[in-house]
Amino acid sequence: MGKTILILVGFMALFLGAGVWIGLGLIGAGAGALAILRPAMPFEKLLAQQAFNVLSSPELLALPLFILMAEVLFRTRISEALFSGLAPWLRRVPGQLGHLTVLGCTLFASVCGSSAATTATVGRITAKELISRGYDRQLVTGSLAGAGTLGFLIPPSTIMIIYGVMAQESILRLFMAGMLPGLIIAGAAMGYIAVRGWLNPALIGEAPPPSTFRQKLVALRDLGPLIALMLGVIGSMYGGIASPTEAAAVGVAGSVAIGFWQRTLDFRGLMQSARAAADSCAMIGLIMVGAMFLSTALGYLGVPGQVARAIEALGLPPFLLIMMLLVFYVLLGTVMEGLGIIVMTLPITLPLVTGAGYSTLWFGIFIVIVVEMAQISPPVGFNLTVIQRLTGDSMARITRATLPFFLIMAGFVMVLAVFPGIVDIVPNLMTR
Amino acid sequence: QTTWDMSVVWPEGNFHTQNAMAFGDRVNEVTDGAVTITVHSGGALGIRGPEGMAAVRDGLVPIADILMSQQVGENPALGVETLPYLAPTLPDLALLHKFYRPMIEEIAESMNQKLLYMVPWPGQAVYARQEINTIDDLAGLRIRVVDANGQSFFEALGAAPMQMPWGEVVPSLAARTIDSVTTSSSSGVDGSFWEFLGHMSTFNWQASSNIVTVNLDAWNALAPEDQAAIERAAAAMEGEFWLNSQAEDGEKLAVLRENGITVAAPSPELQQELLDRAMPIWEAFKTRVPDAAPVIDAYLAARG
Amino acid sequence: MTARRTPPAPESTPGQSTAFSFLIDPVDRLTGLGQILAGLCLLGIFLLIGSEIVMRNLFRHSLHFSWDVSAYLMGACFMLASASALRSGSHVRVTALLETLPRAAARALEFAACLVALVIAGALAWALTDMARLSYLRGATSATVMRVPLVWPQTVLAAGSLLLCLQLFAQFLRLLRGESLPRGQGLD
Ligand code: NA
Ligand code: NA
Repeated sequence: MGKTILILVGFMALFLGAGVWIGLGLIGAGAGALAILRPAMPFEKLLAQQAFNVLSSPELLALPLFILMAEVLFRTRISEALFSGLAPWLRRVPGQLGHLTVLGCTLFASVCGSSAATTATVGRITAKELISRGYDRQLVTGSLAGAGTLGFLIPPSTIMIIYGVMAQESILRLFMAGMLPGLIIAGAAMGYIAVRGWLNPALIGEAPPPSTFRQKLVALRDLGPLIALMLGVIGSMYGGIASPTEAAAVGVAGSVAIGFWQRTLDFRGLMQSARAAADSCAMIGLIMVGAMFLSTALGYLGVPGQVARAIEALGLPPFLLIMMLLVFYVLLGTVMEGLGIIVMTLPITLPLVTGAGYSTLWFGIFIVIVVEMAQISPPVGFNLTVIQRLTGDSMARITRATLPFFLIMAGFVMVLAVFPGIVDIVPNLMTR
Repeated sequence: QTTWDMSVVWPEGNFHTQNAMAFGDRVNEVTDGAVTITVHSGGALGIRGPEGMAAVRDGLVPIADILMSQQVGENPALGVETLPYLAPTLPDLALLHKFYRPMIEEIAESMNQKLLYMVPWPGQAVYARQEINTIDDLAGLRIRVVDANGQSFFEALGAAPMQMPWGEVVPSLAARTIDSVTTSSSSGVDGSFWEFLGHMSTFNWQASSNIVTVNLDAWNALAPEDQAAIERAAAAMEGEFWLNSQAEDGEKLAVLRENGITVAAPSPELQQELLDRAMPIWEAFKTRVPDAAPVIDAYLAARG
Repeated sequence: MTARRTPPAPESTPGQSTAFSFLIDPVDRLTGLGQILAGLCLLGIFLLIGSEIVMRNLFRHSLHFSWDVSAYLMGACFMLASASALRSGSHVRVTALLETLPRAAARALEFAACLVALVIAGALAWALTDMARLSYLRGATSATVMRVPLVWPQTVLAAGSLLLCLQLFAQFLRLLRGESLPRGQGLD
């Protein structure tokens, strides 16, 4: 096993370090490791099959639609409205408009089941505006990458559906169980922003002008189109009109309607949005192909299973076991993507965890959070790459900016290990 | 000393996965440890359902557990048993296999693999919010189906069939985007359907089997006595696995009932109506896939 | 700020070499065409799923092909825009090492990265082309209601990956004439 990991890490360091585009580098690392360790494997068949799998998965359809929605929304006046509508309310809050990223991600996560799409959409609407208003670049990009991952924890969630099917746990209960942890993490992130802003006012940009309560209420009117859009998407999803993926198309339709109504969008602008969105999709698509192929290669080489069995052999007490698994998943999450992580480790780790007295529901929330952490850990972290595409900053810089939010999630996992009952609160309230 | 990685797309707890593991253990035993099979459940080797036979053919895995009806893209004749009401009971299906199996073996061989054993799923039921007593109860029913036969059958019954990935099914049931799902008792339990639906009608309108095939290159590399031992083990265990399938259905029905789902069989009148609407689909299939027509005709003649 | 761009190619500054233009320009035109097709695929997904929602809710009739075709359009969109994403610097890479190395070494590394990427993309293109060819020879179709001959969607994926190879080759030529690899535009 040591040799396998050494070879894999060697290839990845070589290709990614040299600056090969990430998706291609991952394909190269997987192919290289297979060529050395499994020379009989027809790797081109595996590569083609994995690529075709990823590229024709109906489960992924919401992602390109939400990215298109982000591009369309960017061509409307909705981001100005977000600022003018919320700014008066945030004036007296430490951190001020710095909270917009987290608030936006939390709201958008309730519409969108994908974390990359949440980051892309909210980032597109808020990042540039916040930085141009003098907010600290690190604080903005870090909180965006961190809070964007809430797309998975706050329902609907693609990752929870995959876990639910694999672990034979009610997807509905998982959705309910994710709400409170999602809000706690969002609250912790906002707390962090507030403390940083309070300690160092230089991180906070220009203050919104003072306003009366009446003005505050009037300002909310600017949020009208945005609220209508959110209600439309959520309503179509929970009202039985559209499935969660189809709701993304409702979101696009609503955004297009807003753009045409505000006269900031025409058919040419729509085509431009589609072309720009296609570039973003291509970026995420290529990385997904690479990550899936590498994950599958790891599976063939037996890496996740062997490591999990090694952990099992340690015979740790419950809390230490969870901490060990946290470390295991964080390491795995640096190079693997969420689906691969779940599919390849669950058969071994789920029995370990339930054996230690934790419920299947609890482990679902645990694994969603560690998958979220994987989204923001380098070198393979989808949210980091989305931010990189958005801001043009280097991966190292974005990673540094995101670290506090990564630690917030790690800290919350530990809290969850000590108080596992947190995940049951909402499901118990909603089913009684 | 040979080790085979076996791809299984079902979760670890599924009875097909359990069968595969039991088969692996037996193979290890009867070959005196010369052949070891490692079962990778949950699609952990990255092979999805419809790619099973292709993956074995191309040598991505030496052996796999494969849902046969999902392989119709490779050869449409692999979809015979999923014709609505062609073989609604296990004895019917066993009789069908008597005529069908040689054809499957031939197709497998043409795809560089060898059939070891085949095990049926419990039949396809209809889960709905209300009881289904007459054909009119199906009118306009937004029912989720998975294949072309389901699409044409439920269209013929006046329902509004639709497709969606499994992941969308539960949220869509919760939001009433769909009213109904046709699937097995096992999947009904996996999806906790009692959270949304009160009734299950054991239509058993469609049979389907998993096949376990082994890549011919991997097979031919074995010693003749190991091959013989594995063939004997497969033949001996197949009957046991069929009983597991039956037991699975019973257990899962009990779980559904326990959770408050009313389980009922369609009345004889409804049965007859369903059968009448199904038969044209057989004819259409025989025209589209003439190779499979003799199998269907021989089976129907034998069943009488 | 509402008038938005599609990410343009890295601008050539006056005085820059125009060597290899006869090779680079046609590739860039093809790349642009790929992006337009990808954008149309994306709009196609939107229209298709939108029609399904309307048909089902107003007419109780489901378009049974909407999921299948949308998924294939998604793959087409992802791969056909891959070359254009490369040209506009959307495809991300780790540049930490490049930023710390001296100029000459960094330049050598850019050449190496581009060549390695070309080899890997070539392997991907070969794998996808071979899959499409075999699907054609075997007459493989999808297992769903549509029975789509797989050769069609797979050929589109293969075409997209070939276009990516061509654009990587164009990037290599750009390196030769003294330009550097494209970076993301960032917040503009
Ligand atoms: Na979400
Ligand atoms: Na990561």
